[in-house]
Amino acid sequence: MWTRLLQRLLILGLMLLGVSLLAFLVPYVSGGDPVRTILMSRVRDLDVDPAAVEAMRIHLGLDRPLAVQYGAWLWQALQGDLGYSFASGRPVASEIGHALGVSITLALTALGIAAAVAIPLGTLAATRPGGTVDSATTLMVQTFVATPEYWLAPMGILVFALHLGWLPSAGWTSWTALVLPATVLSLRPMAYFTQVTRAAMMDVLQAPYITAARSRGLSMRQTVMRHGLRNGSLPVVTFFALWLAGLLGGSVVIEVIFAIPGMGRLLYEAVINRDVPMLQGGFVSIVALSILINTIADMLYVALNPAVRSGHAH
Amino acid sequence: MNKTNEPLLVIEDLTVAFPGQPTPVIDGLSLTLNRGEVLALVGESGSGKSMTALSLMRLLPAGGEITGGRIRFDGEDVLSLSDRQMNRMRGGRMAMLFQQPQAMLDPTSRVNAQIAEPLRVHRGFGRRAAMERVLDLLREVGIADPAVRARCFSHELSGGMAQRVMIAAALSGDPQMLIADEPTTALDVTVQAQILRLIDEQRRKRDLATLLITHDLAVVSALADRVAVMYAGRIVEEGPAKAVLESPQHPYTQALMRCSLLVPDQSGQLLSIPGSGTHARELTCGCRFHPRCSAASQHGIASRCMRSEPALKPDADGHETRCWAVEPEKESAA
Repeated sequence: MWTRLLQRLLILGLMLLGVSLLAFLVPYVSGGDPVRTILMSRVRDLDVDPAAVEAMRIHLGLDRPLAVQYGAWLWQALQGDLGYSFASGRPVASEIGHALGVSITLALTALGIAAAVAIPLGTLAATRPGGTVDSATTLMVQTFVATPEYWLAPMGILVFALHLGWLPSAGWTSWTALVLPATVLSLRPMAYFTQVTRAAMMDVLQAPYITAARSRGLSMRQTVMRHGLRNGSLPVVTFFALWLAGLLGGSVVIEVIFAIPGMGRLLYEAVINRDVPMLQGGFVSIVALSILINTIADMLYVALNPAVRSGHAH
Repeated sequence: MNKTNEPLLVIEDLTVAFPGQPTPVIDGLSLTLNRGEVLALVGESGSGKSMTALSLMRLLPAGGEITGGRIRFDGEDVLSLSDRQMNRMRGGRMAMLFQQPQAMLDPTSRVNAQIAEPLRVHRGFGRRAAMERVLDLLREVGIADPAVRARCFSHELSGGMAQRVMIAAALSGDPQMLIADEPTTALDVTVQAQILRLIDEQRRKRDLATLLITHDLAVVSALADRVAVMYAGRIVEEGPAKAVLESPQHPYTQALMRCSLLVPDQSGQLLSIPGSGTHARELTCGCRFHPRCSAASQHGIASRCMRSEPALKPDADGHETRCWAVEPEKESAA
């Protein structure tokens, strides 16, 4: 167990190093001169004084060889300093910290809603394949997978914010502002979680130990609660982690529509502004966090599965 | 408990079918099991032994359906019980052991929780009392260090240990009948005898009627009072264990006996029954065993065996056989 963990951490370290190099290089490869962009945005003039450009370049340390820049950036990043945003001039680390907090709250709420609906629904569908619940579930899954968020979000705003006036239409001021975006964001993962739960439960319900539990006199319901759910929800743990990692920087549409100051919007703006330090820092943070989340999910999977826990994986 | 002479279990004309299969997997099976008796059900894999066991518990795999017949258990009509009544029956009055004990335990649930289930759902034990009782049961089935073993998961147990746990779980509901479906087939040879002895010990102590499903005739001779031999979903021979083992009447039973002795023939080869029984159910007329039967040709009755299926006919001692060769020519008029 501990050697496994140690091995894992070592691999993670190497992965992060590779990712940091990529994150560092991408803005340079993508072309364009950030210094010009910054200066143009400040003086609002296409004819920027070349001397000013040069001075700015030296000021930002962009005149040094790339390897030196990478080394310096990495060293500072390891100390939690990701530099200053070209656009706002504020520390990248603190901006990312705020945005990540917002995105994690949004993602966890959305995925929580998704799992809370999907696990009971998928289980119910699996206990009576082809039944009413199962058919309704299949329809729901297909609808949710096929409904784009950029359509659903404005519809939600129209109905619940503008027409009914129950919820705020945008912003990030109170928990009520979380309800609409989190619900819209939850539908697709809900559909996938339901399918995964249903498939896993169908498998589990065929397992010999389910027959054995029934032979001891447990009702179907008791059997599912005691022996089905735990085994059947294992795959959902993995999917939950994958979605969480994906939503951290990936809920751009929702964050832009609902004016939520999260990671997606931060990176979106950083791309538009050619904000190199923000892009580098954002990319590295998201990847590092994703790796962390998946590691936690693996550990959780192991914790829920005693056979894997002691190395008896089948 | 009702100590009448009436048999504990009476199966009449049981028929079980799966959709998409042209013929039933169990076809008109009748059996009785008396109180405290051990009835062995013998036959090749695929003959319908396990399906018979699962039918009794009404736990047939998805799609499987009891399409005909009656099952009476201790005066109750099992097939007309509600789901709730059936739940009380399972584990409380009839319990079951399976072939692969480790696969029968939930990998994510501790041993004690699973043994305690019948206690809690059938006998109203509280959590603490149930856990105490589980330790007693583990001791009874010969598990050393029960306090430690009780907290194990299935993957931490050997096959023999897992079967002991399954026995403890089966006994915990204090049933009247034990269905043991090849309980030792998947175990090491050295462990098999221990487990059989344990089952025998416990069923004597508790006066448990036992339906023992096996393909091992040595097991039958050691434990069974009566034997029923099954072929392709039908009983072909049934009678007192001694009579059936010492003078098997049906050519299939005789062949099974010869095979199980593991004695080479003149050419040095181990005996086996030619052909396979897997498609025997698809025979629409005649005896289902006739394509593999040596007696059919020897007795010059092959055409009769091909044309019509013999009935299960008893001799004077209640030893029943389904074979034309056992019935001399006088039957041809019937």
